Amino acid sequence: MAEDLDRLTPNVNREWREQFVMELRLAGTPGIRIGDALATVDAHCAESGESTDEAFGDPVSYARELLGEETSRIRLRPRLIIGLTFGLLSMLTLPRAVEDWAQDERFTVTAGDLAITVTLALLAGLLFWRPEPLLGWFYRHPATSFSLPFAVLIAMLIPAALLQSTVVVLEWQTPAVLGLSALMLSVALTWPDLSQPDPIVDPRDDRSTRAGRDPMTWMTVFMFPVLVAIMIGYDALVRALV
Amino acid sequence: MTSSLYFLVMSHDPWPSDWLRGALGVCVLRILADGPTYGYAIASRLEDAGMGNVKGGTLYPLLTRFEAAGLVEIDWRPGEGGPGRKFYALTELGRRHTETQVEQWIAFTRTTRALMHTGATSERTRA
Repeated sequence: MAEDLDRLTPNVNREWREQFVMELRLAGTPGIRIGDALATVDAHCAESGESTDEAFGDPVSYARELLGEETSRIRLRPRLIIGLTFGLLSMLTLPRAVEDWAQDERFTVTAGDLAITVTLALLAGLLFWRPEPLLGWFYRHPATSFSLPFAVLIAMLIPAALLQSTVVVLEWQTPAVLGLSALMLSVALTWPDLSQPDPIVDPRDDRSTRAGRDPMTWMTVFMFPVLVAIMIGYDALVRALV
Repeated sequence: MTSSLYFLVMSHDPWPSDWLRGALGVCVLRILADGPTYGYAIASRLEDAGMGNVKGGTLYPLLTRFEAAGLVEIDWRPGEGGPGRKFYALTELGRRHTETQVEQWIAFTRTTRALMHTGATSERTRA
């Protein structure tokens, strides 16, 4: 993405551009409008010979000037947040349920599991009220978005390790059905938001107007099924080797 | 602020910024009334007319507001050896708005000029 923008807007300072794009993205500006604004800056700098800073000043202030009265901050739809939470819950339950089935054991719900569920609910609330830090991270490092669920899960291992007292013991089928349902709901609920790519389109470049779903979009849409499959596969590999 | 200090501070800009802020919109509309043109050409014409170096950071938000208000329409055209240019053209609404604004601005400057002359006359009378 950054390389594409470097090619399309060679007269715009990269750091300036990143801050400008981020401010517009956080205001929910569509990629087509961002592309138009960037192309305008690029063309002006090319013609005037001025640097981006010289001609347009601070990128955040300039973005806000362009937005005018539309300076409302982005809000994530509750549907998307609930879908992401279900996805994380499916990662916590399905691989363990499959593991219990393979080992012919029962599924033990611990105090740590409950703590994780409560923490995920709090994170979901935080994401609804203050989405900017997370979205800022996604826009700055889109390639790392796939690894973020893993990072959250690794952080969740701490309460899981510390709070191991048993709350309830279930047959493996119950968490398997719940986990599978959560997984399907995660795809269904996040599909409307994650399946629509919103690339930055340069009005001067025909190639950038192709807005079809690229591999990254498909990976994002099916992020949780892929991650669950990786976890189940990893467990199976460990079982086979040990 | 003494006048010498004032011009030292304002040396990069021929006019106080709040005056420019008031006049810029009607000046840009008047330039667009001559035909479709692009941002840098508008900035150059403003500079040639003695308005100073109007930066992109001031000019394009104004043009974006004109676009949002339906006063101008845009069209990207290939540049001459450089990147494409975004051309702005007055719409019918923009043309009518420009005519009104230009008339009002001329009347306004006539009023302020008359006041300036009256003020100068009064000062001479007092002296």
